[in-house]
Amino acid sequence: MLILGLNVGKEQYGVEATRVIEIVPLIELKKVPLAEQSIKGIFNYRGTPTPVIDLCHLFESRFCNNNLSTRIIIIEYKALSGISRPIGLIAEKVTDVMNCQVEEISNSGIQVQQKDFLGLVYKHNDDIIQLIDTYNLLPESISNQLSKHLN
Amino acid sequence: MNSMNINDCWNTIGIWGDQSPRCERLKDIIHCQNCEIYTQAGSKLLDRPAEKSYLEEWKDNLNQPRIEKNIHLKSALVFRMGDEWFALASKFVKEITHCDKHHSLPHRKSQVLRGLVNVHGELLLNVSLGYLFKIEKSEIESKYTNERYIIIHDDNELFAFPATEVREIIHYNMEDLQATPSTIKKDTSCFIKGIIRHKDTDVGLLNSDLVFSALHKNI
Repeated sequence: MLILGLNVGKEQYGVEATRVIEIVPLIELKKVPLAEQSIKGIFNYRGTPTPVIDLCHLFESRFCNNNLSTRIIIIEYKALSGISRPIGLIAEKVTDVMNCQVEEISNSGIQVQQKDFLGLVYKHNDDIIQLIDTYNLLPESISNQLSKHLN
Repeated sequence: MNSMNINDCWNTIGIWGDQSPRCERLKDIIHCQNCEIYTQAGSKLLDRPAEKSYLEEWKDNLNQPRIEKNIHLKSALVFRMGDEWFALASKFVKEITHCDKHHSLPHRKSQVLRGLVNVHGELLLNVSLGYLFKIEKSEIESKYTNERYIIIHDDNELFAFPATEVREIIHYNMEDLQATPSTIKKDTSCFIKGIIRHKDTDVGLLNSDLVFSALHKNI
C-alpha cells in the first residue's frame, strides 16, 4: 500500500495514495468570508471551484507555513449529503511517499472523536505515522459548509 | 536563493566528485541517489518560500482543464548505426552492454554472422545489423564512438549486435509513425516500418518480424 507522507508541524501523518487525485503547490486562494477558519479559501481546480482546508489550522490552530514543501493535496471528498467533490488539504512537508505492508498497520487504540479519522497507525522505521481517513476527517461544522451541490 | 548550509558531499567524495578518500557508504549503496543524506538535502531545498512567479504559473496551469495523456504509448530503444538512427521495440531488447571478447567463427557462410561474443559467460551469436541493412561505417564516428552491444531476443534465440551509439528509450504513438521516404536505400527501407520524428532526429522504427527472420535466415 502506498502512503503519501505529510506533516502538521513536527508530527508526521499519512494519507492512502489511492485517495489522492493530485498534489499541487500552495497557490493563492480566494478567501471565503464567514466560512470556518480552517477553510483557507477556494480556487479553480481544472474548472471546478474547490474548497481548501488547512490541516495545520484544523489540528493546531495556526496556518501552514509558506514553504515550497507545503502543498495542496487534492482528494475526493464524500459529503454527508452524499455528493462527491474534490477538496484540497494543505499540509506541510508533502514530499515523500512510503511503501508499506498491510501487516505494518495497526490500530492506534485511541478514539478522539465520534468519527474516528485517526484510527490507524503505521510503524515506519522508528516512527509512528498516523493515517488520516480523509472521509471522516472533517468535523461537522466544516463538512456542513461543504455539502452544497455544485451547479 | 538564500544561502543554506548544505554539505554537497556527493560533489566531493561522492559519485560526482573526485576527492579521496571516497565516501565509505558508496560501497554498499553504489550511487548517491540511494543515500539518505542526498535525499535529505533535496527535501531541505523545498523548505524555503515559493517564488511568486512560480505560484502564478501554477495558478494559470490549474485553471485549464486536465489534458488526458495518451496511455497507449509504445516504447522503443533508439540507437545509431553508421549515420542512421534506428529504433527497435523495447520488448525485444534484453540488455545493453560493453563487450570486448569477440570470437570469430571459421567457415561462416554469411557476413551477417560475425562470430560469437561472451556476455556474462554465455556465448551469443554476434550479428551485424549494419551489414544486413547495408549501412556503411560513419566517417565522423571515430572520435565520438561509444560503441555498445545490444542484446536482442525473439522467442527462440538471443543475438548480440554492435551499435555505434545507444541513445535512449522513447515512447511514441502509432499515429506518429510516418511513411518511410523513398530516398532511403531499398536494402534498409524494407526493414523499416515507419519514421518517428524524435528531438530533431528521424528515427527508423524497425520491423522486428522482418529483422528476426532475416537474422535466422543468415545464421
